Amino acid sequence: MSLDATYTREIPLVEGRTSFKEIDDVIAKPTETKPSIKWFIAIGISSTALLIGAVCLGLTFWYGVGLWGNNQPVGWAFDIINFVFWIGIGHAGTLISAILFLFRQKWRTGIARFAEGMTIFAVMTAGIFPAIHTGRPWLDGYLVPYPNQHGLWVNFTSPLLWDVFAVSTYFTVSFVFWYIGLIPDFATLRDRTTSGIKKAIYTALSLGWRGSNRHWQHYERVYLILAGLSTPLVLSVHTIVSFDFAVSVIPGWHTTIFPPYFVAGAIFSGFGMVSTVLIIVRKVFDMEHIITINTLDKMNKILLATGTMVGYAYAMEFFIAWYSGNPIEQFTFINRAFGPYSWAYWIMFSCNVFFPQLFWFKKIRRNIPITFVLVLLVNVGMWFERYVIIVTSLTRDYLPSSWGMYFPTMYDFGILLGSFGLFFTLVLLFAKTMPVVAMSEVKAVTEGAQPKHKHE
Amino acid sequence: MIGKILKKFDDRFLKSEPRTGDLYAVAALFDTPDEIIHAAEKVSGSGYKRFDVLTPYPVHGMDGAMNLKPSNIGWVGLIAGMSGTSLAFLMIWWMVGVNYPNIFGGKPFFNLPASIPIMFELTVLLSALTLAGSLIAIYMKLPSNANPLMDTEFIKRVTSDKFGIYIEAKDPKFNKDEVEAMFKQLGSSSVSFIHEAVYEVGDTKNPLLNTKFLGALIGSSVITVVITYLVLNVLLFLPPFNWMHYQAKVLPQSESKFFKDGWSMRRPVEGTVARGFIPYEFAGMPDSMVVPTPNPLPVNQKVLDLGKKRYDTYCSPCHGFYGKGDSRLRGQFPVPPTLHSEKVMNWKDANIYHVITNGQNTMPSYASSISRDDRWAIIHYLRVLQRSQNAPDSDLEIK
Amino acid sequence: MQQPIIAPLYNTRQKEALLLGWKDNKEVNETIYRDYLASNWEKALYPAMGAAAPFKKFWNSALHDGVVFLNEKPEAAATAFSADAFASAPKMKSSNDFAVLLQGNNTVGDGRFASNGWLQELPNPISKIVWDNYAAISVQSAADLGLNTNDTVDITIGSKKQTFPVYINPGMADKTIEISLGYGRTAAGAIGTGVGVNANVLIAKNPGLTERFYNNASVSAAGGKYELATTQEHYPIDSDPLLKEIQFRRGIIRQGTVDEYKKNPKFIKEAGHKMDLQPINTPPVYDREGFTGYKWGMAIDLNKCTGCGACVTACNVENNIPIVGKDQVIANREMMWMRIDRYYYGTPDSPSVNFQPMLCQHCDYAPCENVCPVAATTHSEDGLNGMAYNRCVGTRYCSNNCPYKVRRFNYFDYRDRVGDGIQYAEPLNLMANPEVTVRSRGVMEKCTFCVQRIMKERQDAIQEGRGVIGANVKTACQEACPAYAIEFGNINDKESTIAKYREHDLGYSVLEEIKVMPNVTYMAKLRNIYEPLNIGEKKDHGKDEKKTEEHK
Repeated sequence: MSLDATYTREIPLVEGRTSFKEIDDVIAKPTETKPSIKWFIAIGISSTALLIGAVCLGLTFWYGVGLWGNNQPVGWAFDIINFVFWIGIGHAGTLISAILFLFRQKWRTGIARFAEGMTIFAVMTAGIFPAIHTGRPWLDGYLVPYPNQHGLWVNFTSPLLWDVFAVSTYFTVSFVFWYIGLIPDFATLRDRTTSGIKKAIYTALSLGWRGSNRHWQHYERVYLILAGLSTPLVLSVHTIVSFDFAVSVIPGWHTTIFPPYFVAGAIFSGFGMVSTVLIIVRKVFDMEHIITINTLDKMNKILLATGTMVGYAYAMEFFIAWYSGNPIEQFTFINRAFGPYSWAYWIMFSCNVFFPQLFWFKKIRRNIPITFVLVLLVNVGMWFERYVIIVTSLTRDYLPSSWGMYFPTMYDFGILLGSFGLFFTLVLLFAKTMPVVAMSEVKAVTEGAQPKHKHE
Repeated sequence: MIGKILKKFDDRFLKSEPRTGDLYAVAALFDTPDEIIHAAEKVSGSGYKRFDVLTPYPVHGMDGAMNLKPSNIGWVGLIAGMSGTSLAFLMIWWMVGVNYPNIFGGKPFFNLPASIPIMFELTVLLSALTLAGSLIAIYMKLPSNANPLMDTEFIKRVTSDKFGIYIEAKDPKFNKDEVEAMFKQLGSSSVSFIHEAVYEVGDTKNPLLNTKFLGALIGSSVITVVITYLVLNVLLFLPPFNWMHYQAKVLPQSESKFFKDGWSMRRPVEGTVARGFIPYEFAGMPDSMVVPTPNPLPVNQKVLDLGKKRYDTYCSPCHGFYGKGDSRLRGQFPVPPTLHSEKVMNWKDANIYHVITNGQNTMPSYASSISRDDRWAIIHYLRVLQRSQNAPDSDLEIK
Repeated sequence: MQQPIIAPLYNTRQKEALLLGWKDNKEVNETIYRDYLASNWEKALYPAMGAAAPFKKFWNSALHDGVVFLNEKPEAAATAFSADAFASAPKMKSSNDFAVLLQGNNTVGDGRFASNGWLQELPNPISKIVWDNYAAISVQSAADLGLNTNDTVDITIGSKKQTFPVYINPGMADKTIEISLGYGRTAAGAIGTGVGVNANVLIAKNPGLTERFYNNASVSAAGGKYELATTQEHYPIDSDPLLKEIQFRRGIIRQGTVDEYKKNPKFIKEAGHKMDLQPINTPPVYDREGFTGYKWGMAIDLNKCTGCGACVTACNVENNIPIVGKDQVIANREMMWMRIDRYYYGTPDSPSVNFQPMLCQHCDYAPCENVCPVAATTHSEDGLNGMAYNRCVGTRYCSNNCPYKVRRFNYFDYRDRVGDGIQYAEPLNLMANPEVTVRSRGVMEKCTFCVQRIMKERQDAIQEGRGVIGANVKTACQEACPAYAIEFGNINDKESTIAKYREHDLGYSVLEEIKVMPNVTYMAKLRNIYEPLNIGEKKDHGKDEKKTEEHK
């Protein structure tokens, strides 16, 4: 079993005739040099944001979730919006490393490791929110079916419980997948480093990997199976997250289109975030040869495709609301687009559907500043998509007597900021301490890396 | 301080002394994937068994060149995944279907469609973890940092940009010179001899038995246990974490600092009459003043059953199950006289009612514990007891 | 006759006892007034009754019953109504003047109950405003003055002037302002101090009219803002076709006229076509678990409900529900398990109102139960939707998924938060019902159908060796309702009143079409007017007519 098959080569994946040694040098450079001032400024900003979030969270623990803007009709707001947003971000990594791997998309190698890392950090960030959104977070253990003195188990019909299983499984499997991929690179770093402490750490992490072909044989098989397992997993996670809403009875939530709609949205937002970070990283760490403009071009095509899918879902929701003949459902959607929260709806619509249409033009796809602005808009738009779904639907449901508006507080914004702080702090630490590009995978796709197939 | 620690790490991990142990293997480096494929074919074709090819990335066609059997690790994943599915199914079915059924929204106790997401997740989880675990521990036999290849120039090249092959000295066909000649003939850019490392006395080969390592392990586990204990048993019960143990309300039978008598329970205000509680008008009067009233309850099985129940509950501890005054309190309370005395036998029902209601001598009032009807039922039952314990011979004749 | 239910908590004296003590120069104690009363009854009333029982027995039964019946003749019937009496009523002094009516408040009275948080937080039946008084003004007059709700307004009567927040109240007469007294107190403890605006300053001698009514007030916008807290945000009467009469179209309120009912008693059940959505009678997906023994249900008669809110307060008291304060009501976090929804229809000048007490519907297919991950809310076999507070981690998912939005979440520890933690302080903890758990922050709660009273009945039934009798359980709201609009009991007992209510032709449940099978039945409102109410008729009436023509 070999990883490669013949494929039509369009553009070289790694630009220029780079030797293996040069690949190592470029990728390992951030881990071997002292951090630049740019890096310190970046981590200063992100850790300040993290600190602000931590303070807001601490105060929330002390006084109660009443510090947030959540209220009687709107039981979920920023807490679950952030959860769904970050889980969505977390989908790109596994998609790139697993689904594109199965589709033999070689261009993924330059960004796969980084995207996987972002998946893990995004899922970590996301995983915080279900835990802290509860009124009594010190009892979160009740969400796990463990034998207890009440003799009571959990409710297996609750989508929130499925979430517990789905998110923890997704995190574990992504982490395993990521770590398995990292083992050969840790071995490379182990054999390069000139520092004793780093050597000790990389020795422990690489588990004594030697690059043996008796190992590669099983390793590649497991990598393939894990990719196969991760593919339905990544689709299932956001499907289950969408069940949180689709399984309910609330108009605007109770929709069967949600699973594919959420999955498309997740991939869309995930690619948006990966692009955002990669554009910065390839600049800061001088990796333009490995994370090429062709890669970004391809990612923009995926953004265009998924953005259009999301647009289709928006349109289809309205169509179904009209076609169902259910006036409560119709009211909900008219209220979404023209009610008191219409501004959120139109931010969402323009950022997610309208602006990505610019990616039809090749010039825009290959223009890095414009791409950067557009992917930032995608991030904003996808955050507002969750805002529209969660908050707008809850503010006006069945009984007009219980309708109520929602206003976020500074604690909501603080924790949102903190979640970005956590994510970027982790990303920056990762970029500084670990190989952000899979060295062994990149080597395998450079020109002349494989024998001339006389045995196949 | 930090510099000292770093120096220690450098000393331990970066020093490379010439190895003096036995020969472990002969290793050769090649520059291109084609050369290494050719070398692997040659080595496996020559009948060597204990050899291996080391490459920085998987090279296509190497399995065939090395004559390796296809990997069967896929079966491990399949079996683990299937056990994940059935484990999840059994877990949910047992927990909500058998052990603690609960009604959720009128659905059946065990609900298969709702169980599918978790069954799927556990399938993937178990499969992935087992695969990764067995890959590392069983198939690749990692971690193996003590391998003699570690820290050699050879391994430093093969994890970066060269392709390496080595034949172990333990191979039955091994001959140092032959192997070296073969590698050179195949076009190797460098052939090296790898020796086993020799460990000084006290420096064990097994890092798990190192005293420092063991000490660190035990120390960290103790710290973990203590922290876990403190978090679960102390921290989670400190404010602001509220478990509703303290209730801002006054419970019956509890102390109150607010009231002078220290009791949380309050009596009705003296002289008031609550609904359904008209005071007993003969309270405090001697027996002789009681106006005789007939027993309002009929004598039937139901009333007698009720009477027996109440008698056994309230009266029998002192008066005994048969009213003989055989107290079960073993002298902790004065033993009352028998209920089969001439006096009690001749009392009107109303007199007995009066005694239950008001008390007599050391017997307290039972007015607050036994309802009116129950009192009359007890009296019926007491008459039955009296008749049964003092039955005349005529009662025993079969008619 | 009234009796004390608790002895004085503090070292206080009864005013009657004091007077008696001074009059007779006796030592004042707890019993002298009672003895005085009893001896008076013995001398004056007892002989007149000609009762056979001794006085002590008579006295006790009088205390027990609370009333004695004397053979007195009714007073003469009222004389005929004379419309001429209004002829001399004063008119408005000039066309720019406003009429101002000062009234005792329906909850805090003239201010004597201002320190009672439950009353401060009981919404006004019409405006649903809490913790404030306000100048209620008609829609037209507000438009003339350019005012909106939450603006402030200066009201000047003669030399007296005060500034009030404005509330636009549909149905008010034009050029008329109504203001509640009893607010703006300066020394009413932790709860009552500084709540609302003192309207007493406007009171003056008012020849020709009363001190509570003025026809010479001048009103002008003060230009400020003052936020009023309301428990029902939705603006009362909307011209927006999406929102107009939404309560009828969604099947929340059903009503008709007496004539319609006489013609066809089943017209409410058959009037599903008047709603946007018609319930479809499909068989349930699952057989319901349980409910074979007794099953609890409630019926609320909308014809009897006056919207007074006595049930809400009774529920608050019975179930240890905290008050949350004005800021939290503004944040939509009031804790009342029961609320009275107010719906308007008609025109802003002469609207009609429907009141609907809304509480947990204890649905057979409760959507809240399905989504709770920790099994904190489950169904009992007797049809109750239960809440295990100790198990609740506070995800709020149940509240989101409740179509009736009757679940309440403790966003803070409100007992600690309001009025310097007065609800935790020593004498107030005596007020808490010992049978009901005091909930901490982070816990979801909702109506339990007074499960503690159901448990009491079960206990009595076991002790008495009989089955549970549904009619023996009276919920707190049911007991408090002055109009007997609430009925509760075992719906599986087909002879019981509640079962008959449930089977009644006027009975319906709210949002029937979503099929959650509520156990609260509402009796449709019948209005005693001659014209049929054309509410909720479908707009595409023309289409239906065409269809019938085609049939011909």
